[in-house]
Amino acid sequence: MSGKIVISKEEILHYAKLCRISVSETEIEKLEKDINEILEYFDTIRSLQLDVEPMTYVTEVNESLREDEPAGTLAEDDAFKNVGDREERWFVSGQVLG
Amino acid sequence: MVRFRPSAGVSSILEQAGVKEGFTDPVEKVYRALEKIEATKELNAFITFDREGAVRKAEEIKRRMDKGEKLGSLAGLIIAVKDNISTRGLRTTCSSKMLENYVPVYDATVIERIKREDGIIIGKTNMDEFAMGSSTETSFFGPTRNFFDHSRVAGGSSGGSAVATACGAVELALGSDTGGSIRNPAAFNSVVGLKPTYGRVSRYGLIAYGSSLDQIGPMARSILPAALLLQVIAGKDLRDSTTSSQPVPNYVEEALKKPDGLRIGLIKEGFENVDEKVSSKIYEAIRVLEKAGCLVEEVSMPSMKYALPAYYIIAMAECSSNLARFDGIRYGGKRAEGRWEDQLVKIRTECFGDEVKRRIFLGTFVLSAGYKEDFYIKACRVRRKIHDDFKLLFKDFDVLATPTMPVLPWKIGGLLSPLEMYMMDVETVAVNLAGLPAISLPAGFADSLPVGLQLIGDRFNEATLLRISYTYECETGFTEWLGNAG
Repeated sequence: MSGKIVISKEEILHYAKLCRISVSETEIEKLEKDINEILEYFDTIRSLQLDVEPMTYVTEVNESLREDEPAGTLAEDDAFKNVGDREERWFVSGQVLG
Repeated sequence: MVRFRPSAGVSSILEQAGVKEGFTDPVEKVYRALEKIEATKELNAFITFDREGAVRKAEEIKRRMDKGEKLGSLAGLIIAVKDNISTRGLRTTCSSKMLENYVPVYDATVIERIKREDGIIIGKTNMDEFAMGSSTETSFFGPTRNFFDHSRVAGGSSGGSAVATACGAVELALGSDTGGSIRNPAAFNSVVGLKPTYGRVSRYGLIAYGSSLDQIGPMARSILPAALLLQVIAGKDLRDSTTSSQPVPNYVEEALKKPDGLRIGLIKEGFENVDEKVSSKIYEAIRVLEKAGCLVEEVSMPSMKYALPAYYIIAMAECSSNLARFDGIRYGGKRAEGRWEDQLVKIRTECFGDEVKRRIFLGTFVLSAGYKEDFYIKACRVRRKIHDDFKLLFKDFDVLATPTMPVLPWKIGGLLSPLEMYMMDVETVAVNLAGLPAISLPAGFADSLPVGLQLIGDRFNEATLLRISYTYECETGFTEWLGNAG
């Protein structure tokens, strides 16, 4: 187990890109300080030796597939209710390729 | 304090509890509620009202009353709903600029169930943005103010629901709880707030923060109405595969049973690093329960002190995934312009607040290659340890107790760093990690500010929690501490 984990400004920009959020020059100082303070606190569990399996569900596992029969669908108008940009029956987004 | 006698029918129970007032004109009730909300608007508890919908529902109930038709168990009760729960045709914002204009096209399961029982939904309440916070200060619509001291926080993230309940504008409210978000504001406003067992209440229609942690639950000024609302919303839902098939007991009847001989374990670690003014009120509250026939003993749970970092790692990891869907296109979007990638980044940067961005960022980090094993997987192992330790404790105890909050409500803007805010959840998060039910009860005042007692139950044992809680209510008369509310 190596020492304390500290994130650099370059790494912050890398992760911001993964999150699809941009960080300005003025914000990055404060973000670096906050993130590293929080990570130092998270560090308290890194050194724990626990020989139990990880737990991701606290509930009983449910087999809950329904019968393969047509069920209700969303009305077309409802499907478009909250969309930002529409052209007839198409959702419009910004340019994806190129 | 006279103990209410069990009587036939929930209506008469609620009348005895002073909730339904012998059932006056529901339309008039709605207008009075709206006046109350207007009179207390400085508290900023509400984001959106549904005046027409509430009046329409009240008029329908009145028509059916006049015809002598059978009414639902929530008939005539005015209910507020936290703004991360989908309500068809009624704006649902999660207190975020990202969803400022989002109007759901469907009702959450809990909303369907409330409407079926003739509950009257009057509006959507303020919260921390996307439920990320412990004070309702991260809301895009400004903070909600504490009912007892308007310069202080209401607690969070269900601050709006707690204050709407405390001030008497509504009789019942729905909150959601991922790391304490029902119990925290309940404690800070001297009301009752219950987080059910994970899987007890459907999350279909709840805008997700931490999917393995979130639960919707009731808030009220007293126990029996909270028990009734839980009754209505609980139960299996085919649209949420994490809901349980465990039968739903009659929670109101269960609450009325005596708690003699029930064993309460005081978790020692829950009293460390707690303001002495808070812990002394908790000990007083526990003595009330001892006098009422409960057996109280101190117990240790060493893994409790690792609950907070484990919780935040898991919650942030889950939220980074859950909030990836917000791309500015689908949920109240903008006109498309330029490259999709650029617009996506622009919208997410502008429309998420700082705390949300911080958590998405950290969640991405703890799941990334090279760090996932050390942080996320390790946190999941801590989670199993905490879950197993609670299970052992419930062999010897029926209910466990701690303070709900380590401090009294602080001044709005008073906490200096994000980490200081996270530390406020130290008492509540272990419960979400283990998926257990827990309730916060009013435990009196210190420096004229409310203190909450947290009781934790075994899985699907809300009945025992409600039983002890109702006895506690009868012994203390805590509903009167809210003054002339309602």
